Amino acid sequence: VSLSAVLTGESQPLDPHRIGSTLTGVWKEFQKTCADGNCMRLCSHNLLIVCSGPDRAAQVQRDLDELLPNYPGRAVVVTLDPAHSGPVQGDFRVFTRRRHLAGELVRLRFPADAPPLPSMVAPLWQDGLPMVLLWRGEPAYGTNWFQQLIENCTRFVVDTDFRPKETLGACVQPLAALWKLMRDPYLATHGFMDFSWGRLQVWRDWIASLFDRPDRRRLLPLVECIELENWAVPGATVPGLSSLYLSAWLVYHLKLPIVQKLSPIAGGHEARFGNVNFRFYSRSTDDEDMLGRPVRVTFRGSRDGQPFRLSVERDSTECSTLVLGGSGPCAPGSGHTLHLERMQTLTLLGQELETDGRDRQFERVLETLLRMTGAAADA
Amino acid sequence: MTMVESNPLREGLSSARTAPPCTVVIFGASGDLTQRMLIPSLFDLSEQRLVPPELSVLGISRRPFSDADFRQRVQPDDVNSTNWSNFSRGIFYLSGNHHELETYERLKARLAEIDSARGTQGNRLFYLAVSPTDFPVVMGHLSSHGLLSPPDYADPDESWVRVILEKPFGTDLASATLLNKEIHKLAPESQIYRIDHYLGKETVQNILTFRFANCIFEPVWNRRYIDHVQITASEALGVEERAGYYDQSGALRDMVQNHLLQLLSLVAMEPPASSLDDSIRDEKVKVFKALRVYDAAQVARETVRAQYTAGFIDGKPVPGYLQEANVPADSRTETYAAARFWIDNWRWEGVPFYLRTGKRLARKVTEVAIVFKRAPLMLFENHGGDTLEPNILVLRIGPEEGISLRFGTKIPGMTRRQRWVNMDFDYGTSFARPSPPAYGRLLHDCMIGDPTLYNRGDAVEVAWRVTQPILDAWAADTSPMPTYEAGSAGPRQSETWMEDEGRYWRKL
Repeated sequence: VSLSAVLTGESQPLDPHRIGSTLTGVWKEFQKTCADGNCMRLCSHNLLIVCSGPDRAAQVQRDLDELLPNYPGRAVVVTLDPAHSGPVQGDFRVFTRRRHLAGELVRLRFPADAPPLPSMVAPLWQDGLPMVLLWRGEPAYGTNWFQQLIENCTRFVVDTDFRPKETLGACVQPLAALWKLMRDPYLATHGFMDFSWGRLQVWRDWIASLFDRPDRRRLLPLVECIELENWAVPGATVPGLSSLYLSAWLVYHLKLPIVQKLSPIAGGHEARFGNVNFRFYSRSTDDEDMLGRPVRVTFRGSRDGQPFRLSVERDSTECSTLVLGGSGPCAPGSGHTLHLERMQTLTLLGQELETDGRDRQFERVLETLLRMTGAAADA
Repeated sequence: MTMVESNPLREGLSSARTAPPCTVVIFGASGDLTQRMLIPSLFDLSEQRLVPPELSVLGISRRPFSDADFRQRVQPDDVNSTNWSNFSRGIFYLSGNHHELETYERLKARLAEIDSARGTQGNRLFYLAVSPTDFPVVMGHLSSHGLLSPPDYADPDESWVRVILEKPFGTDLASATLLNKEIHKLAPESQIYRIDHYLGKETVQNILTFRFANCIFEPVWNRRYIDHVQITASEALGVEERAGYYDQSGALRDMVQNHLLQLLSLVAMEPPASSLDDSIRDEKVKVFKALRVYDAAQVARETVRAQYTAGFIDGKPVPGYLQEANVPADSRTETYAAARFWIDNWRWEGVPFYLRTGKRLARKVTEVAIVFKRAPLMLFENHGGDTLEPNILVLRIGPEEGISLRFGTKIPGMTRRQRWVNMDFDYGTSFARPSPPAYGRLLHDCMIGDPTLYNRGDAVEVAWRVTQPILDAWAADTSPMPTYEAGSAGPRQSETWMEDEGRYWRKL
């Protein structure tokens, strides 16, 4: 491969069985261009992204184009393509920053499953640096090659589908599989994350901020009902994953014992934790992009016989604006709104690349979620 | 009613604690600082969700603005219009002279209105961006109007009143001591926050993390292994619009007495017992107390000062200091200051700390360089000669924030020659997100009641105790003022002063 072609930043053809030597060759040629030898091969992480289907891979590609120049590292994007039946195909590109080689992106296209994948990518990892595995789509849980990949990484990230399912079981099944993996003693030092949880960071911040004020903090023990709403297709009643995650987070942090697990009621679902009734509702939308995302979280209770309501709600006209609202004692005034950029995959991935070890809060919340939905036993 | 001590939902969130609602009252609000730093920082905190929506700002100065005028005046460029619209609803303005009683009567009424309308709960942060000589005046009026205590309607257990004093805190030891005495008559130290924006810089805070979160450096962080320390804050800019202030101040007061001595204290302090209480500030004060205080003869030996003459910056001709607008033709104000400080304690005995700062130097650099002792025996051929070069650990504060360690390595080949290479950590390549603005960090700390990154009264006084004899000796010295050409690395005296000891300034 000619260096001048590589330095254009365009994709170059790659023999999938000679990935390591090709990249080393590029680096050696690159070094020769620096007369004083003062150039570096920047690498802060290894990143493997496995995508079920070409659509997901195309989406990832756009994110990586932006991410890799900021997070220099070696990234391998694998597409599991049911339409592909021939040998593995590959190409690569490099990113440069000033006089440094600042990132390598390798793309591989496999048939629908990929038993040889671990043997092809394992030799590529730079020792001593984090190895983050991000899976877009349903991970190949249970297969040998998936297990090999997991054992070779330091951090495993999934992006569980946010959209509401027809049954509660279908909604929590992917989380149960993830939980099972997290409980594997052999993976005790691995980090785990679900982007669907990560995307709720803004909501968690805002819900928490409702109770930063000391006077509102005193209302917390007086909360009797928490309502969670998410966007769904018309007629859906099963809680979306966002509502389940947020409720599990609240249950865990408010230390509420499970009294009654999640069960259907008219128009939604209900559960009782401690003295608090949790109600889950859906709001209809045709907007595919909004399906499963939170609409509103409302806390209701009463103090000295006077009812209060505190809520965080997505603005009805502006999907990226959150509004703090309420009535009764300590209610926020008008104008408590904030426009926020939606948490992009890019931001979430960047955070993962900067994080070491396990996120204990995510672990506890996931466990709580499975317990409150009755799926813990299965997991 | 059950009391919930802390917000249980905050546990485990990556965001810092949201500050409680309050009104930030800015005295001197028509000044540049409000528009350039304070409002953009507060707005940034609001977008980061680090301040609550109730946060309100009340600007005070003599100029006759309406609330709308003031909002328009302080609106930062390129902001999200929805967020600015929400945030700016909490910005108000009060036209008044801070010397007049009547202003405070109106202020008190206005604060009560804001508390009622916006739920700020009687919490107040008074930001005094006025002349230091006016600090006691403003605080005296605030006190006599009961504004240094929370109002009667506020929760006595939760509400607070704090005062941020903008630098400079005094112009010499006597004025700083008097200022401390006067403000302590009006408010306890726990209410006073003396701001030095240098301490809010991410890379400055990282000095502590670097030293005390990594056990590999602390064992060599002492006189056994360190030859000397160089702290540099050079600027390519001249005095610009600040000639009036700068000519009264000079490089020593403007940079050394505060910023550079703060850096020195962070490099030299002992490990604090905790990061949560006043331990860090206690340790910094111990360093200041251990700094050697010079007599006039020592000042002549241990310091260098100079003024820039005309030269070139980035290829463009620039005037000398005496030719700058608003600078008296006979000014003897130093635009360059270098000093060798000694810390008389067990850790640093015999290790000089070289501090230098100046305007119109070759380039803008702020860094701390820890120069280690040379290896005792030269076993290998050196690339550049027969002397061994020391290891140097450089903590770069700006402009390219990072850390580098210089060490020797074998040049590939059949000989045993060695060459120096750098092992680099660069903030820009390791962390994609930019560092938060220093003022934002410090304002947030004040709102949550964390004074760690603020100067304590005793620290300010002991820092003045060290710099005052230098100021006095320089004032008494009638010999010609040394000069350096704009765009150079500083005066020749500064180089020879180092070379005489077999040491060299790091290249600018």
